[in-house]
Order: sequence, then structure tokens, then C-alpha cells
Amino acid sequence: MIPAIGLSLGIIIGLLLQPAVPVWLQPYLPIAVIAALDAVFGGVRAILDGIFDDKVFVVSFLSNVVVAAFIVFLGDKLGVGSQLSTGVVVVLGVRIFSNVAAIRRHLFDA
Amino acid sequence: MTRTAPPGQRPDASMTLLNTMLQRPLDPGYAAAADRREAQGRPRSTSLRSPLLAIATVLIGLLVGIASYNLTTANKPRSQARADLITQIEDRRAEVDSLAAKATTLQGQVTTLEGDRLGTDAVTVRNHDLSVAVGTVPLQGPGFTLTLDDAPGAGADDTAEGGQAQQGQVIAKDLQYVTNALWRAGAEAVSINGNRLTSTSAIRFAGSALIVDFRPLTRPYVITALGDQKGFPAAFADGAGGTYLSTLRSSFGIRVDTEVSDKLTVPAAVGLTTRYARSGDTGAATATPGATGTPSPTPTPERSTP
Repeated sequence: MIPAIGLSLGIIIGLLLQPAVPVWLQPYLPIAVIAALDAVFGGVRAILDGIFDDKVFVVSFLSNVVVAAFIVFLGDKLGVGSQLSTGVVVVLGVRIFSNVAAIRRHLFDA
Repeated sequence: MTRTAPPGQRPDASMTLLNTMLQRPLDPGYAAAADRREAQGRPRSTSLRSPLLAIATVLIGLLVGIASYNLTTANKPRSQARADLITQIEDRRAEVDSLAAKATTLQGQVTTLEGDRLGTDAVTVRNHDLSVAVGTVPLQGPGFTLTLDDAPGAGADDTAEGGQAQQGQVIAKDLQYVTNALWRAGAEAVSINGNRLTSTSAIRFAGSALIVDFRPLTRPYVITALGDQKGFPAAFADGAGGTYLSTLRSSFGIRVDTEVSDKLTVPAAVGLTTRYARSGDTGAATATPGATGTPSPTPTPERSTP
């Protein structure tokens, strides 16, 4: 319950304050969101599996965001542009998909 | 011949990356932490009420909220810049229009004053005739108007991309051909949407917009042609121009309306300047002064930005 409240509180604050993100930071936003989603779905699945650990959740979220941002930065510096970020999106997307599938199996037994 | 995998090795060993991604998508850290806690005699799962978790979820929510606000197109700096550029273009265009109107008024005053001051000698008459031909004075007289418009449903919105004209759109070549046919048929003055055509006028395409003398036109395109010869409209209709227009109408659905009138006006040309011919190659001219009896080298017109 508390995590859900925290999540919606954060979204509401973000939408209400409407902070302007500097332009140099904007390419990192989409990847960071996908990394955060991956951590969230992983956490939900862990809760349903009965093996949730708050420390693992926080560390996985932070490291996901940092690594994703680093890969975008690296791709930018190497001149391969968004191709490295595509790799991140594919890997995280597959993970999100399978985690959601596991959550679905837990919730609906199907 | 079939090869069996060595014992202890899975047949799909080369696809480990895919297998790990698909079968164990969950962070192995969760399972490891659970095993550790179980070994210490604590429950496998921690409580959801930890402050760390609350802070992390608020952070995630904040990230999603900020991203959704900043990544929506309406708030991108690019669209802001685009809007700024559009206002700038509109401002400048209005400025150009007002300055052009002012120039026309001033030019009219100059012409009137000239007419007052100068007498009726041969030079003045010649000057008047020339200004009619050059386009520095507004003209009024019999003639006809041609109204060209895109075919219904073609290019009414900006669907043409990359400067490619759609089938039913009026393009610069159409206007060029029609105006040339008008001159050939004996027109004395031609204007398109109020832009007087002179010997230095250019009808061009820029993107998907038609441009006459660097001023963009909007549909419909009204070509006013003056000519007081008898049968000037008929000469145009029977000539190449009429044929071209009927082809446009029948093949591409472009709307063409012709209207003959006894009293039409064509404004004076805006921004006419005098250009001086200059000797192109002075070195060669001085090297052989009058050796072959030829005059100075052919003057080349100075290329000036209009």
C-alpha cells in the first residue's frame, strides 16, 4: 500500500511542479523511465513471489537508472547515437514483458 | 548425420543470453537476499513499510511525472522555437507588405511630380512609353484576368512534402508558361496576385509555395493581363497558352477561370532598381586598345541581389 501511495504521490508532485529539465538531460529521461519501470515490475513480481527485499529493490532501481544513463552517454560520445539506447530498450523491454507475464500468472493463474 | 550435444551441455547452449533473459528476468539479487534471510531465520520477504522503499517509490513517481511533462511535444523547446519563428516570419511579411505599399505610393508621387515638371517634349514621351513597358507606373485598361486554382481536394492542406507538388497543384512552371504565352499574345502588362511582372521578375517554387519576386503567393492565383489590341484575349486563347490551360483543366483538374473586362488595373512594380553595366574584363580591354577597332568588351550585367 505504501509503495503505491508513494508512486502516485511522486507522479502528482512531478506533474504539479512541472520542473523544466535542462536540454542536455532530456535524452536520458526516456531511458531512465524505462529503467525505473523495469525495477518497479521486478519489485512487484518479487512481492508476489514472496521474496521482496527493499534494499535490493532500491539498489536495482538506482543501478538500472545509472547504467541506462551511462549507456546513453557512452553511445552519444562514441558517435553511435541512439543505437546503444536501443539495446537498453530491448533488454529492459523483454525483462518488463516477462515480469508482467509472471505477475499475470500470479494474479490470474493463467 | 546428427550431432548430439556432449553430456552435461544443453542443446541450446548457444542461446544462453535469450534463455536467461526470458526465463530468469527477475533480478537474481532478490532470490539471493531471500536465501540469506532464511538462513538467518528471518522471513523470506521484508515488509513493504520500510522508509527506504517509500522514498524510492516517490522518486520513481517523480521521475515518471517529470518525464511525462517534459517529453510531451507541447513543451519541447523545439516547438517553442518553431512558434517563435512563425511569428517572426509573419511580422516580417507584414513589414514587407507595408513597406511595399509605401514604396508604391512614393513611386506614384514621383511619377506625378515628374509629369508635372517635365514638359511634353519627345524625351518625356519616350520616358513615359518606356516606363509603361518597364513597369514603373500603374496601368489601367482593357484586358482579362485568369484565375488558376488547385484541383479540388489537392494540396488544400500541406500534404505535399519535400517540395514535391501533387498532381492537381498549380506549380511555378504553369504560371511561367501562362505568363510567357500572355506576353506572346501581346499583353502590355501582367501581374500575378497584385505583383507586377517586369523583365527581371522570377516565378519560382520554394518548398511547396509559389514565389513571385521573392514574395510568396497564396491560392488562388489571379493573373491580370492588360492589352488594348483588338482580339487580345482571343489571341491568347487560340495560342499555346489556351491549349496549355485546357490541358491543365482536363488532365489535372486545375480550375481555370477567364474573365474579360474593360477596366482592369495593374499596379506598378515594387523594388525596381537601375543596374549599370560594367566592363567585365578591364585588363584585356586596356591591353589592346582599339587594335582591332572593336568597342570595349561586351558589358556583362552586374549580378546584384534583388
